[in-house]
Amino acid sequence: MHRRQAVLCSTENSTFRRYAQLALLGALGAAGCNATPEGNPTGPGGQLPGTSASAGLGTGGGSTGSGGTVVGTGGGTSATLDCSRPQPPSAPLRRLIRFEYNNTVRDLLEVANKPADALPGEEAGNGFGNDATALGVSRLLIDGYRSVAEQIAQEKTATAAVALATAGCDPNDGGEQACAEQFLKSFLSRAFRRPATPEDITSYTAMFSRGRELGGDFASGVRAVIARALQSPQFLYRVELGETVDAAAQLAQPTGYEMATRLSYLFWGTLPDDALMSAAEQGKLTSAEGVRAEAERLLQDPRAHDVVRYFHGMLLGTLGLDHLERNAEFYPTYKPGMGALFRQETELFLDDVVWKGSGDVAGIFSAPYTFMNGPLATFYGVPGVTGDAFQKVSLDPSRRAGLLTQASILALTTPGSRTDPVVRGKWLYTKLLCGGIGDPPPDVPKLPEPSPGLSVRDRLAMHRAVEPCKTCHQLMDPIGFGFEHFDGVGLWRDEDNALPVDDSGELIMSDVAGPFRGLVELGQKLAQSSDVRNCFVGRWLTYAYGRGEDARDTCTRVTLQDAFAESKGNIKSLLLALTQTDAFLYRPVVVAGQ
Amino acid sequence: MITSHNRIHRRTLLRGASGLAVGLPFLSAMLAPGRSHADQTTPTRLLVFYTPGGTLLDKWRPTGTSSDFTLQSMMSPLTPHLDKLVFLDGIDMAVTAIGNGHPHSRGMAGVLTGQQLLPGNYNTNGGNAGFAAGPSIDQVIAAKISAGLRLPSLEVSAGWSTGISAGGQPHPGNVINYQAPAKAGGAATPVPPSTDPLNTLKRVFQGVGSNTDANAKELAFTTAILDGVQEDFKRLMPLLGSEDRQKLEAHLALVQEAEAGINKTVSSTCVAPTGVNPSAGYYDDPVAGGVSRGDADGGSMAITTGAKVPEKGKVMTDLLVAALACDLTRVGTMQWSDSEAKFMLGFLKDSSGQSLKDHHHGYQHDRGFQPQALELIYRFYAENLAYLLQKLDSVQEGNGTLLDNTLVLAVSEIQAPADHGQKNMPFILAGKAGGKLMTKRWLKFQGQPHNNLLVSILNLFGIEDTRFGHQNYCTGPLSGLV
Repeated sequence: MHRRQAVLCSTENSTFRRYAQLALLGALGAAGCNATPEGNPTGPGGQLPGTSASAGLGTGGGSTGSGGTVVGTGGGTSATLDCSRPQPPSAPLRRLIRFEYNNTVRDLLEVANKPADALPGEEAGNGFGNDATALGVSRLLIDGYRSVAEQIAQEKTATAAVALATAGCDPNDGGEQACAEQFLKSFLSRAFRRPATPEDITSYTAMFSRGRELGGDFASGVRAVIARALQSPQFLYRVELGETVDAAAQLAQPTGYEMATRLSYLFWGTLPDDALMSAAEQGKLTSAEGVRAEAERLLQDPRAHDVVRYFHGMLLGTLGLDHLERNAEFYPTYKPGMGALFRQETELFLDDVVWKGSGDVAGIFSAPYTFMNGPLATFYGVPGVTGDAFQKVSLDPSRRAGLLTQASILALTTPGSRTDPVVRGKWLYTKLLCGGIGDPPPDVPKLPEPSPGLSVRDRLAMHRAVEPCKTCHQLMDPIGFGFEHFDGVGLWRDEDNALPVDDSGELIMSDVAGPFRGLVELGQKLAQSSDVRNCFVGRWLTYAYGRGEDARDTCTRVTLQDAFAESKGNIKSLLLALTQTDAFLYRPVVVAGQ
Repeated sequence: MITSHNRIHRRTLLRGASGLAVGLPFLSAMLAPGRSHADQTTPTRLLVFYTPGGTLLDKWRPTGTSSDFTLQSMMSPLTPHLDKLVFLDGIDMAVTAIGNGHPHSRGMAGVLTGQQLLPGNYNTNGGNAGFAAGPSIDQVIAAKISAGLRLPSLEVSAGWSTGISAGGQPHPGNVINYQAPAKAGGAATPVPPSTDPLNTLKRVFQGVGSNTDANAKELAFTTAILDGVQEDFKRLMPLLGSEDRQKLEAHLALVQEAEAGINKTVSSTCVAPTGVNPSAGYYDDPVAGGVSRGDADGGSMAITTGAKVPEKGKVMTDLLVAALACDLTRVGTMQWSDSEAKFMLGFLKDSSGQSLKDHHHGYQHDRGFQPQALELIYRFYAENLAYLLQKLDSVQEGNGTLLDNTLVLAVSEIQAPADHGQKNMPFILAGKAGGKLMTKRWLKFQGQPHNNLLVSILNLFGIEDTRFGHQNYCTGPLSGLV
């Protein structure tokens, strides 16, 4: 008893707020113990009523109360939020990430070669690389911004003809000054995502002149303007000054142009198009209905697919699959480079489910089809598919359905050569159910080595037999056993280690808790689970708003969870719902210097 | 044209917070006889040389006495430089007893900062962690000795971010350099190394060494643009709340530093290195294919062949030395990969002429501890440290060489590859630090905390703190560093 308490009650590094005691943890045997996140497992959603989420941990947030009020707490004190009134959210200053920078210069200046890929990678933060509270600056980054900006500016003014095309007017026809002014008015308004101010124009006209003087021609003036604008904070950061709505409540809303930027980066990962800027100008983006109308338009554009693909890639961890390596002795049919096909299968599948198919979370976990090309189909042993193009393929419903049975997931949850139910169980419990699992205590004894006749279930028997192992491992291992018919490259096997596979498993926590057999049944459980839906909401919340989730988001979370449940887990509906929350429609009042 | 008022040097923000300035009994005792601080006319430089996975301690240790010793075979590539080396034996990286994440990550975070690894979201294969709790000594020293130069410091690597967890991003297991935290009490900001020799060449040497009209015009052009960028920051910042404003202040400070740096006059005798291959992707490591793996963590993501590591390491070393020789910076770090070290070493051959077939970490413990292979690997690193020392020693400066005016600190994030032990760390000092360091020594310490070594190094550079890093793991300068 004492040892378990010592482990679970570690007070090391308690920088985060302590979780209050929970009835559920009492059931798990940890009664009377305050613990750090690292010590105690948490249920799906990370929290239960009466506690607060820790921003940036990505373990999900609170859950709903009854009626219109939600209890959200911080630091042990209880504060009731009145969700019938808008609540100012956290809104830290956001910076363009590489994905967004590339899209933005593509749309601003027709730059196609993804120059931001040369910049240093973003800190992980909320898991999506766009956490405004986690992104730092380094000299390497600032030198990188300069190098990329100069490179783009050089490219777009390399010759007089190219510079002319970039400027959009001919200096020889109406004079240089006129053309320069016309160019920079239009260019700065687009680059800064709001009309150029008189100060911008004065300052950048001087920039043009200086560049023209130093470089000796019109093109040099244009080059200077572009290089400067691309390094300016109005370009690199999504600046919001807002408009006060209710000073007493410290409540403001983004200006029309600022809302246009929120919308275009949420749906397209790029700067607003002309229609959005027009809507802003006409005052259409200051109401929830006006915002929603534009959101519906943006959702129809192919660029929305790019954002959803980026989101899933970061969430699931499929982006590294292109470099997947497997032991040839264990996996003789896997060839380097196939990992890229695994990734494409999952991307095409999710794209189809979200935009063409059932459109919902249930589809993600239970759709009876996938996508393969010739080489991938040969690998899977599916006949009748040839060529390099991917096509829709029906699955054997007794073995496979949805995302879980795709090679991408099965491979990325297998770090070594042998499958590991703990890794797979933990992946599903933390990624898809937003459960929290702390670190193992130090000095855990080693498990028995794999040996003939020893089933994986028996190898892991210690996890079930003793504490402090059992508390956490019961949340992971029984899920992972359900994966055991699939090896580390996603192929079906009837036997492992010369023993017949037993893929019976169990979900110990969640609204769909209970036993299951195999991944098709597990997929069906997840397809119906509100915990899965609520976890998904939390992921989109942190990605969409570019930060972690905190106590100020309680009403926003309620709005999203309710909308998602009402649409029965429809993802396009969720994307629209993300624009109808306090977090999206409002911001705190900006008080200069405070 | 550049104002230095209101600049926030983030490297200096917490510089003074690590201890009181008190008279130091050991500082003058560290000087070689006959030398004093007043003799300094050439600046002293600092270089950090990091290699992953510790060492084989019984083969790392010299044999002989503390002033008359020889190196064993594994370290013998360093023998030509023996008279400018100090082997530090018996220092413990005590601060890694606390902190989050795997010992590899705690070691990376702590080795230059003397700090604990804070909690966070990163999977370190031994629990989650964030970043270090304070700045690294190289950044603190850079703020003092490199201020106003083209670069405050230069971090380069030969292979980096190789592990499955990191994917090319800064991660507690792959960075050792840290700037002061942006927010008091927050994590320090990791400083990732450059991984691209061509990019590094351009960044460090563009326009250097040729005072042509064209270069002068380009510099004026870039400077005018940066002036404009600064104006944009200054116009915007007063409109924002304080937290957002602080973010922009940090960014602006770096823009100002960059502008001052590129305008710093460089000696016309400075010559940019010519050996950097200009083909795009030349130094990229191909992904390993068809390699037989054992059963333990084979890694599910890229294991690179390491084919380009030796060449890339040499060219990055050349760039570092040239940057110091040209006084473009006075502080640098060379990272030979990171603590995951998931790259192959096929360019190393064992006694039967066979290429090594597994990756670095595989030999440390993934496929069981394999000392024969490790000896080849650590000897390879010793060769490359010797190469660095030889390049530094070949630059004439004043009455001696660049090596005489440099302090090189060779570190790793652990000592024992099999069990990640972090006592008796394999630290080596090289160079004479402008005459302030007595060399040709094998010094034995009885488990002093390595924070004390960091304090002594700060003191060598004239920063007179008596504590650095986590206060509980520091008792003052390293006693016995004489």
